[in-house]
Amino acid sequence: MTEAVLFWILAVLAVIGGIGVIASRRAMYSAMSLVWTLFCLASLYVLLRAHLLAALQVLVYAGAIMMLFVFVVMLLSMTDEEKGKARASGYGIAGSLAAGTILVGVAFAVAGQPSPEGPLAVGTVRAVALELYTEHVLAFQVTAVLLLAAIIGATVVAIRRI
Amino acid sequence: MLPPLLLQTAAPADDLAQYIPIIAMLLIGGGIAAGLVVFVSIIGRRKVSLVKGTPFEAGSVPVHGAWRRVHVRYYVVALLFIVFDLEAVFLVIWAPLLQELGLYGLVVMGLFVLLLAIGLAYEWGKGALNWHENESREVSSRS
Amino acid sequence: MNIFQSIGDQLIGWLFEVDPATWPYTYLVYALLIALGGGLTFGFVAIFAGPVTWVERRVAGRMMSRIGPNRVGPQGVLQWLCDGLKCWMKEDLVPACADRPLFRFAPYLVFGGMFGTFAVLPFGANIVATELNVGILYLLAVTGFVVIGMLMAGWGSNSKWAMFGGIRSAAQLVSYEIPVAFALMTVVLVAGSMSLQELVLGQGGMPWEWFVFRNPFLFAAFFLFFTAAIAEGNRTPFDLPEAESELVAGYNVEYSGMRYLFFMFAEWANLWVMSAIATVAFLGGWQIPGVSPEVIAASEGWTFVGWQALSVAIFVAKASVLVFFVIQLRWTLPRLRIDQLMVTCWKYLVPLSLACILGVLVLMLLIPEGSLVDMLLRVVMLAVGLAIAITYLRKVRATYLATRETYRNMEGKDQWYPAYRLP
Repeated sequence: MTEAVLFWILAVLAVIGGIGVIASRRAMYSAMSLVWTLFCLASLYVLLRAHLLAALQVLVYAGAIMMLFVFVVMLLSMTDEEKGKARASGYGIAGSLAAGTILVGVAFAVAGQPSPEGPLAVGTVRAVALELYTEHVLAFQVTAVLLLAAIIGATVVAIRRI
Repeated sequence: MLPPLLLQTAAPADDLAQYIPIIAMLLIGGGIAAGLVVFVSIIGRRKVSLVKGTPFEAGSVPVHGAWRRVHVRYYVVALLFIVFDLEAVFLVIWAPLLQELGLYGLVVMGLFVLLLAIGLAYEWGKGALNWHENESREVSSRS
Repeated sequence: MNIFQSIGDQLIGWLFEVDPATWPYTYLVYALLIALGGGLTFGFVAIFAGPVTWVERRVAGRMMSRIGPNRVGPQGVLQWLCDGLKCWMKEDLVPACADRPLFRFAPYLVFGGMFGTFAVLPFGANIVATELNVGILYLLAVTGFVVIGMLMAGWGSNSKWAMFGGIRSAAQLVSYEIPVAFALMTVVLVAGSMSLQELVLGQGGMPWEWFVFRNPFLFAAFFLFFTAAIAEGNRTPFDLPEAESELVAGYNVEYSGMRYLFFMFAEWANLWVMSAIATVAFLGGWQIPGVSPEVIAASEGWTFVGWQALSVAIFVAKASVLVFFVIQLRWTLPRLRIDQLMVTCWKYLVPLSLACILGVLVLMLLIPEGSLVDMLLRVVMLAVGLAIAITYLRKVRATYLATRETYRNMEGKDQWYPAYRLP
């Protein structure tokens, strides 16, 4: 009961944050709304007993990735003239359609699932780490390659002569 | 007489109660801070003037706002941070399991760290870690 | 089950003699206790942050051969109250072209991020608000809020100084978070857990049982951690975000009154937080020498309370020594330049801390705990640590004596403050 109430409160707050992300005129507000959304999502993970995922959500997304977003916003520093007027272009309609399709798909997928009974032990550090380093070790190693590519990409962006 | 408390070394993982103090802490901290700010703003007098509203620039009149473009090097720092933050996270969740995974775990993590170390070495060699390498590209001071 | 619940249960059983599980007001008691705990922590932050500013200014005065604040109260001990009160009186200014919502909200984020770390800090054997098994990750995550708050403050002010201070702070904080995380990794490896309480329990009360003296790599990791933590706390020699000589004050230039006070709160409390984490992770935390945690758990009644109080006292004493050391460092070292700062982090601290992890791994595999080599290593490291401490104290003493001598020669009489009149 308590959990259901908490879930709805947090879910609504997360959606409000999400609306803030796309509705804000200022890029910085969008970024801050995203922080808020990610924080609410982390709280939802806590409700799911995914403790590690919750901590990582805040640490990596709300902390590190958001930092990158904010720096990029500052790097571009678009003035109002550069942004132009808000317009309901084809992109907007296409985006709404895509988002709606995904929403319906997720709703159908989730509706078919039975809700798990009793306490879950899949979200602890141990459980996730064991799974990650045995079952999904290839994905884990590919992550390293991805991160390596990111480092090299950043170097290429930042240094004039390679 | 007070009865003994049990020494709780490890809270059970499946317990939402362990997050209550955190939420409470954030709420109480934020609440007291906000309450004091509001209280002071109520009892204090407020007078707005042109000079008070000007950003501080050591006496000179600001020529333009501060929302200019910042240097791309901050982007590099943020990206490096993400990469190494992820590495630290992977290491930290791997560390308690080391005894179990044994040599296999060592090899897996060794490969991972090696790849990222190559990345750091590449940055280092290209001079992306040198803050003042491309001083002429300081965009924030021009434009 | 956390400390508030267990205290609450016992209070209910003790005061009202009913079963807490069935009593209808149990949750009210829990809530009251949690509020009390939060209030106490806030009080601790205020009581710590205030007088420490006075201590710091007196130490600074001593180190610069001047007096420092000595007018308000005996020896100036009430100076911090005056400073605080001044902030209460000040008008809460918002610059005309600032981004008002972000500008107003930023101090709460910075303060909240700092305040949140207190939730997992183990002050004593049972004195910890909550025990997360992702403790270290939580600490790192909460620090992220401070970074975002600083960026918000810097950008929201729409002032050039604040903007530069903000982005520099953010870059510095995130860069130094990496060595901090890596250095903490070494103790996580040895203790086999991420919970801060488990880290403390993995050590013992005696110095040779501390993690810092376990082997050379942990010893090095302690110094790496402490260096990076000083940078995380924006302290000299890494206090670039508020370099008054180049950035006026950094991200908080445009702030005044209470909001400024909360930035300062966060900064001073950070001094405590980083010393406390260093104590917990490397210096044995609250462990009482010669008393094992089982003895504390098995004790009853007031003996138990006594052990708790003693453990808190030990923890506070250890952390205070580190705090004092950081203060002294501030008035000893010059400030780094921003490029030197970044180079220090990415070219030295990060590779060195990675090497420390590697070394700890190798030693863990080679030397089983409790073996003769392990014992020998601990004794040697303890000797090295003691030698460093003694050298440090001798240097301080020599400087003190030399300065006193200079004064004697200058004035013809002993005008110098005697050493016991600290600070």
